[in-house]
Amino acid sequence: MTKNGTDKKSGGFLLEARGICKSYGALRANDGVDLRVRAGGRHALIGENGAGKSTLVNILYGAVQADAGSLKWRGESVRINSPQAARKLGVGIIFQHFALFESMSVAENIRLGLRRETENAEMLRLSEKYGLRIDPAKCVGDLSVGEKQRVEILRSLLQEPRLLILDEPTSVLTPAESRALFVLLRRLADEGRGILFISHKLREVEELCEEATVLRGGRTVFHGLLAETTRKELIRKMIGAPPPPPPSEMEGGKPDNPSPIFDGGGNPESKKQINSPPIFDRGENPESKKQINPPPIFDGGGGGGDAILCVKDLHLQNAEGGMTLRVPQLQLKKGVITGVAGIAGNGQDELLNALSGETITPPGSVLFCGEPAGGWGVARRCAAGILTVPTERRGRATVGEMSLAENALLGRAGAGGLRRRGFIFPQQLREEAAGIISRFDVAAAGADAAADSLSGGNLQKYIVGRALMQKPAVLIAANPTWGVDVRAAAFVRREIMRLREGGGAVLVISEDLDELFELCDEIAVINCGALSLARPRANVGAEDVGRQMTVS
Amino acid sequence: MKALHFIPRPPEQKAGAQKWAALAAVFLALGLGALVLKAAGASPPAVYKVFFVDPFSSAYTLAEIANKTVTLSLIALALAAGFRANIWNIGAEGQFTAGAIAASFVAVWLLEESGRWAVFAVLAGGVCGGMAWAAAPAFLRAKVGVNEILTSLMLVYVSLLLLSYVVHGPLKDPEGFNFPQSPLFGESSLVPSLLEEYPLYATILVLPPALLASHYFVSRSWAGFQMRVIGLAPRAGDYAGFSRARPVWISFLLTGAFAGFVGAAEVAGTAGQLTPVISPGYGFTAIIVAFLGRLHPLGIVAAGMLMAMIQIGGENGQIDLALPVSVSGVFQGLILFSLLAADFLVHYQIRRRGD
Repeated sequence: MTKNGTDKKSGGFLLEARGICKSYGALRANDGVDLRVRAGGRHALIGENGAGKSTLVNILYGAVQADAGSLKWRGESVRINSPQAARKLGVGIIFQHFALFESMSVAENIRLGLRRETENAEMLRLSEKYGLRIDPAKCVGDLSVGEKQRVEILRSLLQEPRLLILDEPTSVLTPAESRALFVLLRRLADEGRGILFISHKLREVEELCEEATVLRGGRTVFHGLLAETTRKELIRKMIGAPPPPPPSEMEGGKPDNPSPIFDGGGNPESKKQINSPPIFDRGENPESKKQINPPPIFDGGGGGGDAILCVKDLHLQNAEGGMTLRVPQLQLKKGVITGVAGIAGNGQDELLNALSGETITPPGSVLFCGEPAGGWGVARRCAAGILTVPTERRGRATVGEMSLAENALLGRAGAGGLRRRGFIFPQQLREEAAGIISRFDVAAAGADAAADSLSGGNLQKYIVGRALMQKPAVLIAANPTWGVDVRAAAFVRREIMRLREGGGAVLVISEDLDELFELCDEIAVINCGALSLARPRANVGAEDVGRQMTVS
Repeated sequence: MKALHFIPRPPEQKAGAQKWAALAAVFLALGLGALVLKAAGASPPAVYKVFFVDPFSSAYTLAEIANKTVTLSLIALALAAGFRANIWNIGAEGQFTAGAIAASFVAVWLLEESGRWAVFAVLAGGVCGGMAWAAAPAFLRAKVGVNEILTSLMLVYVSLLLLSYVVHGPLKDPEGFNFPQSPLFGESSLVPSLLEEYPLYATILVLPPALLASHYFVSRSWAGFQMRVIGLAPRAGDYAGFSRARPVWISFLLTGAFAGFVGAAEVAGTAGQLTPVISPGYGFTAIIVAFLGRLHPLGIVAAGMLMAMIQIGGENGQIDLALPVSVSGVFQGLILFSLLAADFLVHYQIRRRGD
């Protein structure tokens, strides 16, 4: 890397974007964004969902053309017309969702991505140099999420990038994998490459980066050294208001909830002003709280803590010879949030399917209120009030091409007046969707907007909202805040806690340990398809869970 | 060597391109067709005049085109419902034939009946025959998981053999000089014509309500909604607990009913009896019609009309210009290939490796 040469020409800036504007119809996604990344610098790009981060990244990567503004690359004005042009300049990007073919080997994937012949030896050399530990001959489908990410990084490094952009890279990683990634990124920066790190997790940003740019509403609202600012200040910049308190404080629930995102905000001032952001002023009025929080459909059984949904001695052999799910015992109790920790691909999908009814199990292996329910299909379980929020927002929880109104028909406990005698009623669907949109603060063009037009966070709010509107007796949520911005994540968590306060039983399957420790009353660990017994959160430590997740 | 490779197009580009793909395909096919005609020694303008201009100067030909449009569109409407749910009934031709056979049994049985209700009984027989024929692949797919493309297609050939058996055996006209055909149906069993001079069959009256019904089925019915969900995102269908078997039954029985109905109308209309050959491949052409019409009711009627014109034009070209009869087949094939190519280009961009 010619770090010094770059310095002379451009004052050390590898990339300089000024006044970037981009509109989609009436929406100004970027409205005068400035960004400067130093060669050798570790730069964070922060902002809420819809703040314009993705648009900016797409412009830098040439996938989208800016309407106005200038780009300088190593001191010289450039136009980036296509991803190919970006790669030629030396911009590499690691997307949150990997672009890998599962059925092909690592080496084949890399060759396809680079569109040139690459020797396995070269891959091995680079892989060893940076400690990526990847076997080029291995099939990508057999790799863990962290390993897949390393394949993407390796593929990018083979193109000798000067700037590496990472979009939410840690959202899929375990804490240990994240640490390893940071070591790698530091090393790449020390070689003179610029790192642009996009994340919602401020703690990680502080751990890795030196400089940060904060976007809000399509504008750069902050740019500077992290050492010269505070986390509170960053949050203030991001959401344009004082940081929201952690959900537990709002609900008067468990005061000892650790809140990893806002744990800098113990300032009493921030609490005084909590009612300024609109989404947090709900529930102050006891009447409105009552309205929002009626008891769940299921109201049988005695007080809190009664098991509504039980799984006992469930052994599920995967038909394709993959993961065998083994659940000795799992109890979802009224008013209790149970968490399942684990690295992706360790049986979480199988567990979710066995609970949602997509996989039928022996009748006695699943009990709903004491009734054998293993043989119930999805429709019957939904009707009983067991609702699911799967990880896959697009293509499973919603149909991307359909409107939000039509998507309101999926994953329902009952017809709810949306359909009668074999017909669906567009007007009622629109009203239902509009209700979810306003009640759960979903940023969408309206009930007729296609699900695909929503950002991940807003779509997730819609999906969670759709389920919660029906007051489920049991809610099973997989990675409910995956790739969702700070505020939306806090909102989703708060709504899940509300369901608990209302007596709902909740299961949260998540790869995010912080989230599990914040939300859950009990935590179990899934590893190689085996689910451990759930233990009260107070009795388990994060390190302990982390170890259980990774032993093989 | 530089090789071509294909990059998926972003969705916002797709939406615009999709609309024009069908139209572009038609023009591409006409262009390619001109080359084929030229190579075969015919004059493309003269042929296209016979295909697309001459019909408008002959009321008889227009009525013929209308009849064929109705037949093709009704089958294609029903097929489209299944195609939306990724259920591939390739055997509408067989269901058409089965409907025609069943209708002929009813008509022969009612030979002496003079009540006007007889024609309804004949048509109902066609509907039942078509549905029964469609039920077999539906059952195999829904219960046993057998690929419906294969079973429905193979049943086409079974139905053609059955037709051959029936006209040579049970339904053979005892006074027909040993020709393999049924007796002429009774007057009351025939589908009436709306016009005195030309045969414009009353079947056309079914088309408008069928268009409305199919529109409402797709956009407003719960079953239609489920089928769209399953077609667009099968996993969302599973997530919502939609049955995978139900759409199979619905789409097959629907197509069976429609194809059987027009099969009955064909033998009880144009022919007035059951003959060894009753269809120029309506059931297969309807597949092209459904896709060319973008699975949309009005698009299907337009595509049906185009295919009807090509079929009739081919027949007239044979007479007027001494064209080989296979010209219509060539055009159908060209349209299908152009459509597939256009659809591919809607979904993918072509780049040269190394760019």
